[in-house]
Amino acid sequence: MNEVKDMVPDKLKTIWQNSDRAVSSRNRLDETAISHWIKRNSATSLSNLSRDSLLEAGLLLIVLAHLDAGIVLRSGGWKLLLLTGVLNLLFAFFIAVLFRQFRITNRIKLGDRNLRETLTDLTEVLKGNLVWLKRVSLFGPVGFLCGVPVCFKVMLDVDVFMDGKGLAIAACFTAVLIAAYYPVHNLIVRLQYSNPIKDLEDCLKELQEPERGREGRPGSDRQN
Amino acid sequence: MNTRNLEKEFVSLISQHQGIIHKVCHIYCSHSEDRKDTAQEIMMQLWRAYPSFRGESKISTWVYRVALNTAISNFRKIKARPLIKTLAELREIPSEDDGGLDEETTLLYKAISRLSKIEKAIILLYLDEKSYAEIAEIIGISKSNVSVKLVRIKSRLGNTLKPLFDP
Repeated sequence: MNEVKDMVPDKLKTIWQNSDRAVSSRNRLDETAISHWIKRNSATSLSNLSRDSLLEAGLLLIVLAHLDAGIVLRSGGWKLLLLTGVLNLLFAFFIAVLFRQFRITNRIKLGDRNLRETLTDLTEVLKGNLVWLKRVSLFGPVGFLCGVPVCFKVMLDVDVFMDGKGLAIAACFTAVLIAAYYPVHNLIVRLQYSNPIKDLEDCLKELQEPERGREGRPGSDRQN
Repeated sequence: MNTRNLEKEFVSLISQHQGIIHKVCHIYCSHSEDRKDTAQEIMMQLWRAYPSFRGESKISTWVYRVALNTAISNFRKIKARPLIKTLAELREIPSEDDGGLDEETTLLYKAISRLSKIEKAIILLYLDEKSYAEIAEIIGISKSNVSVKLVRIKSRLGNTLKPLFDP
């Protein structure tokens, strides 16, 4: 066993040093490429946000702009304007979530701390964000509740529901949607965050493991 | 220092130490696209942290710290990988974007890829001739803890790869 331990590291280092040259030379970037990359990435800090979030925000903005423009052009009256107001409010809420994500991404500076401190910091930030997202998700059903009566009135005015049965089905569907929003949103948020948090906690646990059992044991410092 | 000089200095620094970034990416990501994304993320973090780098530690130690912090806190889903105990088992695993590397190197990378995120960081620093004190500084654990973990990792790698080194 000892023979294995003594012999292998030297051989491992030899292989590693050979691979080092191969891996580095294959991926090598010249200074112009690095310089170009810095300019492109420092030009916009929005790149810190995920592409999906930006795409969602963009699509939502286009839909709302069209809706607003349609209402103004067709002058649908105050009820439609109220509906748009609610939708705009939801959009503002979405932007607030994005802004928080942006702030969190910028808050975590990975260059100032060692791995253990970084993982601890990151775990706390993610847990805090999870709690915040759960709290703000309460606003979702409120937004629906504000928008639904107006929406129903508009649909009745334009005779979307042909009879009372259709209206009852729509009302049931809406009730289910409102009731399910909070638990479903929380489930999605938990699924999104629980794995990374667990992953970080596992890493932290692994970092601390032998240290707890070996505290104060003399002669354990062995320099290579 | 103005931004232009800072950028020039940073570019030169990255150019000299980009091997560290590539090695970290190679160890933590199995696909070339993931490697590219992680390398960009590491460079972005280095660029953001560079103005506050005061030179208290060696530049390579700082680059390692940022690169490992970034790679380990990356939230990309990584499939759980079963523990490999023999070289034969290791040879059976299909290579992932390792074209161009010789068999020994590919097997070493495969064996390292089976370690946990923390173990990967420690063995990477060890193989790159970092002292226990430097490893302890980058990881944030005591030297004795580094020593304990290294013995365990070397033993695991050694048992798996030993037939490769036998004449």
